[in-house]
Amino acid sequence: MSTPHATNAASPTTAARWQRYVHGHHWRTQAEEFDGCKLGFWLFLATEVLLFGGIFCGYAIFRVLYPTAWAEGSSALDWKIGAFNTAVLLVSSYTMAMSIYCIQTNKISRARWNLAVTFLLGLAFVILKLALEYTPKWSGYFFVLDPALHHHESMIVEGKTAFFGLFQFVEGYGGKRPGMLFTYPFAVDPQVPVWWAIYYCGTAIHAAHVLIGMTLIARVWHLAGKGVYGPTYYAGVEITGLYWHLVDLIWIFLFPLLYLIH
Amino acid sequence: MSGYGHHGGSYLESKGSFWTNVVDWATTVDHKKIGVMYLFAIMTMFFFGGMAAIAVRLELLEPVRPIQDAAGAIVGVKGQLFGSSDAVSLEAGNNMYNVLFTLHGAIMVFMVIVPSVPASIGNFVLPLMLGAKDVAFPKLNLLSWYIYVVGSIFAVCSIILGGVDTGWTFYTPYSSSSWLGQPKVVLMVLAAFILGFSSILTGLNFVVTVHKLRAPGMGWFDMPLFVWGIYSSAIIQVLATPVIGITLLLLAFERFTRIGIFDPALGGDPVLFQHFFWFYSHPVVYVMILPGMAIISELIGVHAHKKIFGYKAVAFASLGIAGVSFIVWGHHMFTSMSETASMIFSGLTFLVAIPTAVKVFNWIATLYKGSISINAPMLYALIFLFTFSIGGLTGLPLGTLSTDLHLHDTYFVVAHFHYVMMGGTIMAIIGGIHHWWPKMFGKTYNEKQAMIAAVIVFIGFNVTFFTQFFMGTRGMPRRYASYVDEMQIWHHISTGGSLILLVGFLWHLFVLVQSLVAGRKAEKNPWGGLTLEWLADSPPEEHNFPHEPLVTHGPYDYESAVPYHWDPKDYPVPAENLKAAGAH
Amino acid sequence: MAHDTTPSPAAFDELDPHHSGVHASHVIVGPMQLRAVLAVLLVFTAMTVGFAQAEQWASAYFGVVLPHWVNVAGAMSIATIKALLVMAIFMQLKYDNPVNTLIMGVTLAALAIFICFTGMDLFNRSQVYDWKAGPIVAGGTGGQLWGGEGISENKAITTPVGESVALHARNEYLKRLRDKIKATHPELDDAALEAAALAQFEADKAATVGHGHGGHASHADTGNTANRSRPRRGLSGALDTAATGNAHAAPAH
Repeated sequence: MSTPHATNAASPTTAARWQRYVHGHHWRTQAEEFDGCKLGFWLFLATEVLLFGGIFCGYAIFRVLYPTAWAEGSSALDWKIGAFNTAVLLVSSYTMAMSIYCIQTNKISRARWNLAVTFLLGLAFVILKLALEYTPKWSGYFFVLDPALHHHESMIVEGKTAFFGLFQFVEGYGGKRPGMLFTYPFAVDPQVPVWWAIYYCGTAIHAAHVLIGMTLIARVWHLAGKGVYGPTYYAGVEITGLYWHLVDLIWIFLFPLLYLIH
Repeated sequence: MSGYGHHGGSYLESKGSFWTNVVDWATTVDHKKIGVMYLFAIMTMFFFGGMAAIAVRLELLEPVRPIQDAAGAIVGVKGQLFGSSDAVSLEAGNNMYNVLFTLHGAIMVFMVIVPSVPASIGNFVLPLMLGAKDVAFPKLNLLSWYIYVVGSIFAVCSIILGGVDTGWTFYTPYSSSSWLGQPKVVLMVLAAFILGFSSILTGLNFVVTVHKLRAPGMGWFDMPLFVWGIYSSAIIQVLATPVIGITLLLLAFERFTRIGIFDPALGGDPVLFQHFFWFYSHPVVYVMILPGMAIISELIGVHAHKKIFGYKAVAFASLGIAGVSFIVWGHHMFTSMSETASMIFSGLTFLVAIPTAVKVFNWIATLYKGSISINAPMLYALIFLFTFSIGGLTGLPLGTLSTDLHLHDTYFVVAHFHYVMMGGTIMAIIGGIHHWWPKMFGKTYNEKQAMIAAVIVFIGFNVTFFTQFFMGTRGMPRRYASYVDEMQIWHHISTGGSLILLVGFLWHLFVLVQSLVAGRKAEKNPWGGLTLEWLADSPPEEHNFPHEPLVTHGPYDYESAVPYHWDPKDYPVPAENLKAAGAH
Repeated sequence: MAHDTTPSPAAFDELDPHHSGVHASHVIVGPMQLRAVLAVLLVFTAMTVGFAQAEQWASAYFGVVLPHWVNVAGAMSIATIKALLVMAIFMQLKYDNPVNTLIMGVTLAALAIFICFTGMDLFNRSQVYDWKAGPIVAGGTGGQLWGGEGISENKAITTPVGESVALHARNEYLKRLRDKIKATHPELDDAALEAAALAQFEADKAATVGHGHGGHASHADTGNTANRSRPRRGLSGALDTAATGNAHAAPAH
């Protein structure tokens, strides 16, 4: 691989912040510090995988115990939204990886653009999830521009809207909630509330991770603007990237499990 | 590089006025100070947990029984020491007892034994042993201390609100449906959840420290066995703790919204909770004992002045225990699982005995023909060998499916895990505290008084818990405030033992406080150890060593290496060692 | 740069300022490689969706019913390949310190143990649970745990003992329909009211369920005939609704 570009002759007065970075006093070298940070973060990612492991385990167990409930619950989800959200996260992973490449090659402004796109894609993911999935299923209120609304035209309750008329109530659609909160009247399988419990826990904890990842991205975007990161020092971006890819990884498994296999 | 090259003062040195010092300690990233802060926080919680234990024992002096009127209706409760005196139902009479043993269990497990050795002694000693200036992520280390404190405060809040009566295991559906509308169960669950983060951060920090910050010349098999033990338990902390995180999170969701994952009334499965819970809580049993074993390896090596027998076997046994810990959790649920799973888990459980026995046999082989100095740390190592062996061997009938069906949920189980947890980890940590006390605070303690206290603790411990084996085999179930008359004599002996134990601990406390106030200045290497922490000052300077240490001998090469700062006046070194060292 | 202690006679390497030789973590993965990986990931996503759709079309139009595990195995294999690609290239495990790969490997092994051993118990439950199967009410017994100390404020939404949450939701909806019909047609007697409410219920259900959320046809109604899920409630059959009178079996339509 090619070596980067910044000259090491930069004097303290003209050097960017990344060039002046001094590693922690207890590390022997900066490379070792970087390697140690990554090792520590991979250990953290291990804990994240096992955290979601609880959800996956619950999914597997109940899927085998209640197969018809799982088929019924899964068929209430729209694979198109799921697939679109998968693509959104995959592209955002790519832009995140690109931002690291740009920082490694000292193209800081391009790196910040990539970070900004990553952030916006994450935002799109969360908004799609809230507006098109959670809200209608939980409460029966559809976003007025939701193409799925026309399937339920006969059940629309005229005049019953929410949030400045942006959401339209549809009778008999909402109430797909977990456990005791379940009020959906047309359930066939009595165990369907268990499916919704797993669905909401899994996707909501994942969405919370998306939000945390977006916060981290906003932070490194800000710091990159101040010249903190450069070819020799970019541990913050690298670690944010690892976190973001993990969020993507979890969704890569959640998507087929929830939306595709019945 | 900064740090080395100037001789800093002791890490305990005052930085100025009282408040300057408070701020300095509260914001420190020095692993030694954090270790000491952990030690005090954990010992405080140990005091509370111990008080709850004494209360449980006192309550059991008399069985709690209903008072019936002529028609047979319950009009009151007698034999009750704690709780409301006007209790008119047996439930109300038993309630305080349930709260007390839950309190004892939850505090001792989540706030004392799990963090005890790694976070306090481990934090202090591990970087010194590796010749590092600090742990890999010092700020994270401080954060984990604060998280520990926050978690403990949550637990205390839950206690103030009236306490939790679910048992420390929080089994559903009782824990997810009792006392709905009251926050105390959620507070206790969140406390355990938060403490889990503290545990993860500590474990993660240690793994990276061991991988990356070993001194030049220190290969994997030049590490002291203490480091191997802490490293193995750190791996478990990282891998097992997140599962209890999601479990307790789901439990909290279930309480708030009745989502029905664990509640059978809503289609969920309560045994699923037990699987989730024990997937964490069984490995975490080894988070409790592995660091204890790690301390014992040091105590025996140093105080017998002899090379540890089978170093690699002991090191790999630590990793082996960590590995096996993940495939045996089912033995906590023999009575709630399917028969197939019970049989497989029972078979796998016996695997634990192999690495454990390797360690015990190697320690005994190390003692053989060693030049043993009898002092408080060594005494505790010997106590550990005795009590831990009893605890380990009584685990076998509990791991055997057919005998466990009779012994489960009896006092036999209680005695077994107290012999392992208390006779193992707590004995080890007290020994460890005495072993590293001169290094931590630079003061010597009164050896004779400490040994007397150790003997009292040993007697009290065995009187308290050995009787419980008899009770258990005679059918006394655990977690009951009431019992049949035949059991009363055993309960009386056991309670008496617990009071002896209390005296022993207070004696220790007195010895250590006296050492802080009036102890002589300790030497740099009072025991003649060969590991790197004995190269540092007592107490160590701020950056541990004046220059980066270079490792030239193994941690237990007593035949060929002269201890750091060796002075024949201070401690004995066997003559043959000297000869070998002279030739060296 | 902060390398004041290490004199460097050789050419200064910006990526390894202290000549530690630990170089692996600074590998630069170029944009073409990243783009190629993204393209493969998107293609695989399309494949897994197509696979699931094709299976449905095959059963809907040609009556070809693949075994249930085919879709599961296919979707999970594709997801695994995607995950490996993300880890190897985006997360740079391929170029990184092998310890990090080891960590992930151990983690996944722990996860596998977790799921498999838990399953080993729960999927063998029938062996001990046959004698307990009777009293279990399908779908749970509803808030039988509601009531008691400190929760009186919640009693208003208690469902009767013995009624599952899903059944309760259905009955509540029917009750609302009855009230609505009664308001407009007060002349109807109870039987006619009931029939009208049921008819309206089925009409509403068809309007709501039939289309999913803009997705494919629901398997819920036809689940068993489409052979997508076998007609069972758990391997033990302990929770089989047929045994408890199957209050939920919707009339065929």
